[in-house]
Amino acid sequence: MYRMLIVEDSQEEADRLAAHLKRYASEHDEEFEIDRLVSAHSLVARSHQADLVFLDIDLPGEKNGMEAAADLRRYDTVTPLVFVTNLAQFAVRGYSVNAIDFLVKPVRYYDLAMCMDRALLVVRHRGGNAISIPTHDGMHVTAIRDIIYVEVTGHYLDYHLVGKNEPLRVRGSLEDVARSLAGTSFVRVAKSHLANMSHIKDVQGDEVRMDSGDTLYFTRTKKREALATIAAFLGGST
Amino acid sequence: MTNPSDMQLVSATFPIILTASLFTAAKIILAIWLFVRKLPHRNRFALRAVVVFAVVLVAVVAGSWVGTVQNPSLTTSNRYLAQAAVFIPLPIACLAATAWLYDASPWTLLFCVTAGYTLQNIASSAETFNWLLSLVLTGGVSEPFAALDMLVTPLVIYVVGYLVLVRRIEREGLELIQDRKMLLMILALLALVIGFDLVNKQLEEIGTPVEYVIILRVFHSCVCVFMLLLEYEMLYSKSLKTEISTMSRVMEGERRHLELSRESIQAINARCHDIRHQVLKQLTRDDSPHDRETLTAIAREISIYDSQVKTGNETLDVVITEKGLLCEREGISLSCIADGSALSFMSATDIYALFGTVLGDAMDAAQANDDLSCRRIVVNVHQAMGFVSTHIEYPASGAAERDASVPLRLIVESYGGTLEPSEKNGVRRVDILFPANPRS
Repeated sequence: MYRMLIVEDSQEEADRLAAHLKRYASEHDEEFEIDRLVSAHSLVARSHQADLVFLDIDLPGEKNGMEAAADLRRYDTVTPLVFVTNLAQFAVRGYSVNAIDFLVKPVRYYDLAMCMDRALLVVRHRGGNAISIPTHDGMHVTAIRDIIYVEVTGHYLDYHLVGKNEPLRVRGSLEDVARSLAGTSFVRVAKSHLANMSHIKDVQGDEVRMDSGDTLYFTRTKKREALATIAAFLGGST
Repeated sequence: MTNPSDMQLVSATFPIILTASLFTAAKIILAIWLFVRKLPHRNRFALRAVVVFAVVLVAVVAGSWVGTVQNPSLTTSNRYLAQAAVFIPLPIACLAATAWLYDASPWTLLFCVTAGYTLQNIASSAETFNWLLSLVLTGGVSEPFAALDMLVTPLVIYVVGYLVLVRRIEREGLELIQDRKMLLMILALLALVIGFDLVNKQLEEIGTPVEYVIILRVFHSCVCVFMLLLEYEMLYSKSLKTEISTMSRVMEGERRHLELSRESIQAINARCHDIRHQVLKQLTRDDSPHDRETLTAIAREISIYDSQVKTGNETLDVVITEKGLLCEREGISLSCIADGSALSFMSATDIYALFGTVLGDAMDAAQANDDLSCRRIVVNVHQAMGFVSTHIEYPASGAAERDASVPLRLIVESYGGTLEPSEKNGVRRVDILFPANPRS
């Protein structure tokens, strides 16, 4: 179940978008809870939680959609945003608030479906599932988004997790972990390291700096494939 | 154990010469086949191949008969002259045979034949080298060793040749050979190498110490290897030059197009601005003879053209505005969220060529879709993780999409970037990744 939030003052446009979302959900075997706000005020007041926000740029009131998005980004840098607008020219700067796409009114179903294919990938990457890691003390369940990177040393795997000083050490092979995390936000940067792209701060040459402060290194044989994976991840293709 | 000098002085019988000649013919055919095997066949290829094999067989049998029965001096006292008369013009015969079998330009075939023939020369040289080495180390050459040398050494050389040279041709393609003079020089050099090989063989018989002959054998092999490297260098550096020259022509065209587009858009904007000014003037007049609703509608329509896209990069603005107007006309929805300033490290011509071409392809694919409601192009440019990520997606046209052209890849790679096209669920995606500061 994903929570969709439509911030739109026009009843007609909001209804059209909601109808398209319902159709998409039924065609793709998804379940959406659709909510609507008529002004930017409620969005900024944090009264609604959402997995994906559709935001009209030309909203009435003190703030327009672009300004509301900028306010939202001060405390929420991750919730994906899609602008809905009459004039495409105004949405081009959506990158400044990390918007993933925009739709031109009146929204066509095909446009929404194409947009949703990418948007849901982003939603899944940031939300994501959990995996079970069998340890000596029993099964350890952790959200995929909380794994920063996985490192192999000999026959042991070290899971470096968000908020943990010490890695979680288990016996296993990195190939098996890579297989189980296929299709998620992980990229093989070296024979010994699997990095969560959601936690990559930046890449300089062969250095992959993680947001935990750790630095991993590309191996020459893996770099090309890893860059292709990162390109698809940043572009929203995977 | 047989003393090789004794072996060579004895007049060879017809069966021995026939076997040796057939074996040599098979090695030459195999070496040339490695290079030509991926070339397109001519029609009735199997029949032609049978004819070629039959001609080779007849020539070998007849030659062996003449050399041993009719004129034995051709395989004894004059045998090196006879071999030179056969082997030096042989590449020309091979060229004729391959031209009859494969549908390729004579220059491509000449490349394959000379490369194959040189590879066979290396194998022959290595065989003799092993044979001489055994002679120096053990004082003679046993028959099992000689047989093993004759069978295994060419195979090893051919496998190495396949891995190092032939696979590259299969991977990178056999480009059109353009440096024809050089190829003819290679052919002449090949004739010299064959002559050198035959002289080397004769040196053993006139009493030259084996150690010197071994050194000359190594020298002969090195010349063959350098010849092959020269051929490859010629092939691929030439093909790279061709790519760069094509790209320069494309880029010059793109630069002129960019200037024209920029001027056109400025002219449209200036004209629209004037019209809007006139419309607004009419709207503010109480006694305007025009209908207010119509004037408001005109002002709104014009604002679409007046509001040029501002991405933070003037060239990207021109491309997006230009393509946006074309998309508008064709009913294609163009969704562009772009931080153009992130592309400041690229030259204007490169930006225009890259985005213009990809968006041109995207528009062609979108227009191929008969369902007007399914025409959409998405362009995203943003910075993250120390990269500039560019993502373009559009409906796949159903027909085989052309892969990113060489000039586009060269543009992207010249900034240290990568370009990855993909297709899934009827949507074509092009992901381009640049280091954010490629020149720092």
